[in-house]
Amino acid sequence: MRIIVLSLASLLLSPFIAPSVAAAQEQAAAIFQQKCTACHTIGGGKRVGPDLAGVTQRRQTDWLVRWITRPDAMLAEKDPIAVQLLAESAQVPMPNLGVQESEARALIEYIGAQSAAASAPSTAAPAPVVLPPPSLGPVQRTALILFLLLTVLITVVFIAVAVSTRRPSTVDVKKAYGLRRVFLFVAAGGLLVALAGTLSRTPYPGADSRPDHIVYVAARQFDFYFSLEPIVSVADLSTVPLVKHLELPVGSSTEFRVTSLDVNHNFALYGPERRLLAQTQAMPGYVNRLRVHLDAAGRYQVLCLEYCGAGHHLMQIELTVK
Amino acid sequence: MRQISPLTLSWILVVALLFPILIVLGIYMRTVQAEQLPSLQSWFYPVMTLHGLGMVGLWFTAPLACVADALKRYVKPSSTIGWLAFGGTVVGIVLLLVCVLVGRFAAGWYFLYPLPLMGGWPQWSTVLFLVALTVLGVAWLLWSLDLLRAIAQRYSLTHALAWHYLAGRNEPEVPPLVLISTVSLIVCVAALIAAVVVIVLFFADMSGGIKTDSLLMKNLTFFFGHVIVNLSMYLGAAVTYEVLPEYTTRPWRTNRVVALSWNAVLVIVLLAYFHHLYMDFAQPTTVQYIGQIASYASSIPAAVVTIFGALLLVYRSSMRWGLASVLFFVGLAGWAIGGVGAVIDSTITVNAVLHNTLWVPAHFHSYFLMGLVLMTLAYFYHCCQGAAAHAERGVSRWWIMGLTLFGGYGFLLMFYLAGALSVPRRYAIYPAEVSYGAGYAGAAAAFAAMFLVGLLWLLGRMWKRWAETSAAPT
Amino acid sequence: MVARSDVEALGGDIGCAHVSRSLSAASRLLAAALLSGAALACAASTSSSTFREEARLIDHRLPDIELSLGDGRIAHLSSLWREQPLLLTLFYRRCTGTCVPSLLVIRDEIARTRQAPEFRALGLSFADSDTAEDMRAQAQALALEHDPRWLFAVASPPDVKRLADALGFWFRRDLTSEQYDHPTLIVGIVQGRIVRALLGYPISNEDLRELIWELRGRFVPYYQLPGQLRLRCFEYDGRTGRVRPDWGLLLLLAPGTIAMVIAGTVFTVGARARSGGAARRVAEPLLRLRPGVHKPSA
Repeated sequence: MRIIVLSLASLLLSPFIAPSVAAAQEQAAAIFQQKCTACHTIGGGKRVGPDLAGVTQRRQTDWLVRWITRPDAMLAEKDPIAVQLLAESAQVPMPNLGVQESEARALIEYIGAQSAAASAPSTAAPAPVVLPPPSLGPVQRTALILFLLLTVLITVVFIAVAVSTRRPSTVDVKKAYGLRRVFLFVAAGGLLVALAGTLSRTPYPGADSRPDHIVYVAARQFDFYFSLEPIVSVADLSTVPLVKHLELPVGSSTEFRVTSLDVNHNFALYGPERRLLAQTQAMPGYVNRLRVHLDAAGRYQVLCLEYCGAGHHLMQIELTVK
Repeated sequence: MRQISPLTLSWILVVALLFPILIVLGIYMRTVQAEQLPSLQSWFYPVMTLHGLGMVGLWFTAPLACVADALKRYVKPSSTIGWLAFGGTVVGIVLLLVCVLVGRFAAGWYFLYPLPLMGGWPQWSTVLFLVALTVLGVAWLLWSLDLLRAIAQRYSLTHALAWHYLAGRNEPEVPPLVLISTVSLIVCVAALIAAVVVIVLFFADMSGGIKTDSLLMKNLTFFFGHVIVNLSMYLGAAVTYEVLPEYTTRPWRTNRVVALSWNAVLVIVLLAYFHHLYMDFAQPTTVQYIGQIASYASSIPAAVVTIFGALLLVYRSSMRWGLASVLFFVGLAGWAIGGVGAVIDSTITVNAVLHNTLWVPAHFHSYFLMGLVLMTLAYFYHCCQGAAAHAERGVSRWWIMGLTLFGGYGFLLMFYLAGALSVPRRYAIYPAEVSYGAGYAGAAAAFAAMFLVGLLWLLGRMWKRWAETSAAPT
Repeated sequence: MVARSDVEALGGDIGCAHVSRSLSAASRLLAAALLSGAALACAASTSSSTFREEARLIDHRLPDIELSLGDGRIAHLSSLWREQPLLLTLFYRRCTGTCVPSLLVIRDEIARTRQAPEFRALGLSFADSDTAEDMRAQAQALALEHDPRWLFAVASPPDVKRLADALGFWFRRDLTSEQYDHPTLIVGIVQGRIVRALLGYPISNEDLRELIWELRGRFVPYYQLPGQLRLRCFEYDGRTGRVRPDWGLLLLLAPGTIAMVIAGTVFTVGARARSGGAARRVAEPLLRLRPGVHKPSA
């Protein structure tokens, strides 16, 4: 929602901005997109780092320039504001991203302009909505029921054996070994059946079909990016057209080509019923192709399921299936 | 019954001290996830790292200490090396405490490359972490090698691995403890070497800027992690094979089937680790299949030989039920139940919707908390009561078992349910999408607290029992 | 619909990563064991702007046009790509520039593909003046007249324009020299969609090999990071079809192997330490409780 507001705001504003200023703003926007959005929003609420809306009013420009260009040095010098920010940001320090002074000044101007356009962040945190649990997906339901049944069986057997010690007697070992053989065949047989049934249904993309759509996904601390062109490095984030509102047609097959720009992440797709549908790891230096059939229309959420640092639980992106 | 050795007693003290603390850290984690401690939320990931490292380390060393103690019945491990390993472990623990509590190192217990280098904590804490692992690795490697040496002084390799049983010969008799220990110690050495490679490659990145292939690092890391966790389980099983018969007054001997089963485990455990990389689609599909086949296969020796064998041992025996024997028995059930959860998750098509959800901590907490922990505590209790002249008294053992079982399994059930409902693991706070996870977390914290009470009660009884028996003339 | 602007390319390669389909059944297992190595030496062999141009073409659907083949047949482009994947390049007969050298490179690389190629190559002329006879002559000149894998064709000027537009291919006639200015373009087409494009001359053999692999269905899921120690487990040589283990595999197998060696060593030393090396009968366990002795209490 906030992204829509931002996008709309920038669309509305752009005709009113002089071309040269527009070009500089574009460059600043690109840098902001590439270097800042992982941890900050402007008017979109706190992420790992604070919401930057109005920061140009709250802080002196010179301080901001120093902070943006060399945050590590300022923390080492124990700048009081820097130390306080560190405490407020779950002890995740702002990294030195190699921003030059001129770029920093452009960023500050950009943030100021965007702050004016963005709605003021609400001071009160929205009341947390606790959603009820979703219904179980078919695979999860089978897994849980199977697990519970076998647990009950194990419990019953153990209890029966324990109770049997009330009446001790000798045991016919040969009969027992016979029973063990039966147990072996049943267990091995069951496992073989399960192997045969499940090994043919893996999520690894097959040869026989091509997907209807290919979407590139890059993950980094702590954000996901969709694009229709490959994103190989962080620099690409400012040159490749990113898709902020991904919409896919219902019933289509889509291949997500997932990579990571820093550490291991995970691309986990939750459907409109809020169940985990499919996932793949996002690995630096690799492309994992996740092919999904999007059979239900609605809002899909992507969460990161591989622990990746302090903002791990904040990494999300949405897509819509119509 | 001999007196408990000072070294084993020291290990018991370490467990008695650290285990409750680590449980409290776990309760803290579930409480934060239940949104009850917002002011302490920023500590979640460092505490998660400490809890994981601590539990994996503790429940590797504790059963190994039990095995080292039990092996003294047959072989002569070096007490110098034993104390060295103890000291090294203590030093490692201190270093880990510093890097997490002071440095806020929070890469998670399996420190997946390259996160330790990119997590926002100071570089010194990552260096200290790697140094701590090195210290622990050296201590544990020496310990494992010494135990192998001790076994080797009495048994040849083929005897220690009970190959003569496979050929149909029962002489020389090899106790299952020796067989299982040999298998476990060999794979332990393999796991520790894998950890060495990982640490070296980490240092190569930190000092030389040389990045390693992330898939290779993940393979090596999970080879280490999977093997060390599984062999810890096997060490627990080893002491169960050794001590449980004393309560049933029936022997539990090696035979051809036992030999076959544990030799199979030696191979299977090295291949099953691929199930941790199912969602890394770049991994060659062949090894993904190998992972599922090996994971399924690993359940057969455990279920058909060890657990069935234990049940057969107990069935209609003159079993003396006391805390020690009950803990062994219930621990085996916990291992079985955790194994079921694990095998289900090791199915690729199921893993696609359970990977990195709470089902994962569900299954490993099952066979650890309600499996290995109980078996190890059973052995400790067995040692502590030594040559006690009188039987256990009082109804407290019912309370202890009741709290432990109810609290433990309630805690686990919350994990399984939440995992099936797609709640992710390792989340400090559940976002709106999965906010219902907070309820399960809160209930889990309550159950865990119940388990903690049962544990403390058990430890109290253990101490009391030890005091009684060490005072009494043997 | 996917939210995208009109030009749209749907994704392309990521540096050295290549998209293709895995093979069927039995060969899937083999292919699955391999991380195809054709991308190995490629450390950004193309400049980034060319790469972007190539990437923009990926997944474009091509129009179906009517072709006059060198052997006299008339065929539709769609009929060709429906039968087998198609490697398409644009040239013209009287080119004194890069056309023929490019065709030679492609010809030689295809010839080096040892296994059955499972695709066809089509040289399509974009010059109005070229005829089907010219195409036959071209095939002859390249000694490809009787090679069933190679086709040469012409098409009507409007059709050529339609196809060129879809490919982003431009050509300008130089009136003084009667030569055309044009880029070198090779595209791999599977079922009417571009799976890979190569732009520019000289053609990198690595890239061409990868395009061929693309057509045949291999997927190379990795790319090189700066400063990366390349320690993958398997490298697959696309040309020879051979699997080559890389250092990564050695590192992965090392722990288990070394552990076995250490165990063997420990037990060998232990055997020597035992008296005379003779297997000693295992006497009563040192401190074991004999069966039948009850443990005093539980």
